[in-house]
Amino acid sequence: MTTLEAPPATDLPRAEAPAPPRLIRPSRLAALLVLVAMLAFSIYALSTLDFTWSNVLGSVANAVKVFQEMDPISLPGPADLAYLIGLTLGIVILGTVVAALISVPVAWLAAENTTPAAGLRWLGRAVGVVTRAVPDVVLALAFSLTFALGSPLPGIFAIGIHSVGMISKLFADAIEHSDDGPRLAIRAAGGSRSQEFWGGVFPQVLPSWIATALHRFDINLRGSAILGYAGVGASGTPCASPSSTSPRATAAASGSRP
Amino acid sequence: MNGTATAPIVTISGLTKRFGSNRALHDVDLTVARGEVVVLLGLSGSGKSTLLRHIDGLESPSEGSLDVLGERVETLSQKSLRSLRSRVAMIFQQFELVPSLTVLENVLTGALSRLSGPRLGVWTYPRALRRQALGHLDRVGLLEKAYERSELLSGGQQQRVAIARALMQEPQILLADEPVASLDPESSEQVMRLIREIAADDGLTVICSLHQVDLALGWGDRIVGLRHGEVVLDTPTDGLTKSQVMEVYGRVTPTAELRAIETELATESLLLTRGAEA
Repeated sequence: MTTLEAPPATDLPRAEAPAPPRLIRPSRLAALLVLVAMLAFSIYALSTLDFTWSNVLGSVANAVKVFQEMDPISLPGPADLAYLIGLTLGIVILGTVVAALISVPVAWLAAENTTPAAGLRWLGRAVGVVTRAVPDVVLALAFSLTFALGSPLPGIFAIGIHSVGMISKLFADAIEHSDDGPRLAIRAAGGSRSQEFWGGVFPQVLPSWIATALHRFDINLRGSAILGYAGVGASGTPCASPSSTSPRATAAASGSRP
Repeated sequence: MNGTATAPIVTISGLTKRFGSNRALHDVDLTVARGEVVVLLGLSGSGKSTLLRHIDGLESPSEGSLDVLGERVETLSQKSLRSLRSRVAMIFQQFELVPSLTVLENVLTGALSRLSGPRLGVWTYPRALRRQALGHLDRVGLLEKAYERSELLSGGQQQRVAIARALMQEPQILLADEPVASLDPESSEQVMRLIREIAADDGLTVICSLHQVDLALGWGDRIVGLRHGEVVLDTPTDGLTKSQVMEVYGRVTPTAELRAIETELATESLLLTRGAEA
């Protein structure tokens, strides 16, 4: 098998030409300075804290007291418990599904290789950053003011909105890591932009998207008890309403002393 | 190139393409007649891919003009460009199939331009298209692989799937960008023969880029040589010898020619040794 050879060596730069001098790039220098500054600030901050080992020993008694007060945790009856667990699962599943659905267009905007315009890319990223920044508990508290106490809707909305931050970010990353080839093939065959995305990108990213959604579902399930305490109907709700359970269990759930 | 029998299907004149300060194509003139099988020969970076992408309307020229299937490519709207692309099929060095989809669904994506909106899954395509896709798979000899995931196929098989996908477009022109550069010699030969057969049977015009002189000589009607984005050779294949082609590439100094011959000999003896070992 004969292949064409490279053009004659006389056209090429000489091998023994001196290497260009190595420069310290400004971005690397800036990164180093920031790192040093952060380290210095951490040391200063630690030195100003009233942190002594005798204080730590003194707080052990407090910790013991808290755990003693948790002792008789009163759980709701089996039927109530099953209902609350089912409700929690429902809220978390719906919230995560809503978030995953909202994340698809957001990720499409935010991914470098699919965004229709640079400005829209920033919009997509901004949606991700803002929804990530507002904690779901805060959203739940805000939404619970607009619905009846114990209604599951605020929980679904809170999880649905807050999870968009993480899910859309990871969805967009998956899009950016996908192979451009199949998209190009569809474009070369006269396909539209949406056909490029659903035919060339989506099948490639689907496994990663499912993994991301399941991971977020797991996180949301763990966080759901505290959402219940925020006034959203879920397994955390009995902790928040003193009439349905003992104040001691409430204390345990909220993590604060009565 | 006048008269109905050899009416040009592609006419390129004065095509120059720059990417920033890098000049990929320089003042390229090329006319391809309907039904012609043309080989674009050149080293990597010589502008073969860029030229093919222009013919499919995937790039717009910095200077010059392109007429493809009677359309003035550089003046077309996005919508007309899509319609042009649907009539010009393209296959690629890396096949560019979706690995996780079945062979059949990959072939069906070739018909997307005839459908409105996206499709997910084989069953979302009309029955007539599914039947057509199976027919094309039969033609490339892969009907029994229709429901396998395309990533499980060998390179040669994947390229044949890509050819079936191209046929779904019912194209008038087939562009092939280094279609066998990632394949072993046996699969290469099979794929090249398949393209030739299909071109002859369907009266397709084919423009195929290659970097292997041997493959090009026995295959196309005409060879167009590119070097540093310029056309340096445009000649019918009949009676053309390898040394004539090599001359175009290694013409500057006698040592370069010598080197080309040396490398050729070295490669061939290496292949012979491998053959003897096997």
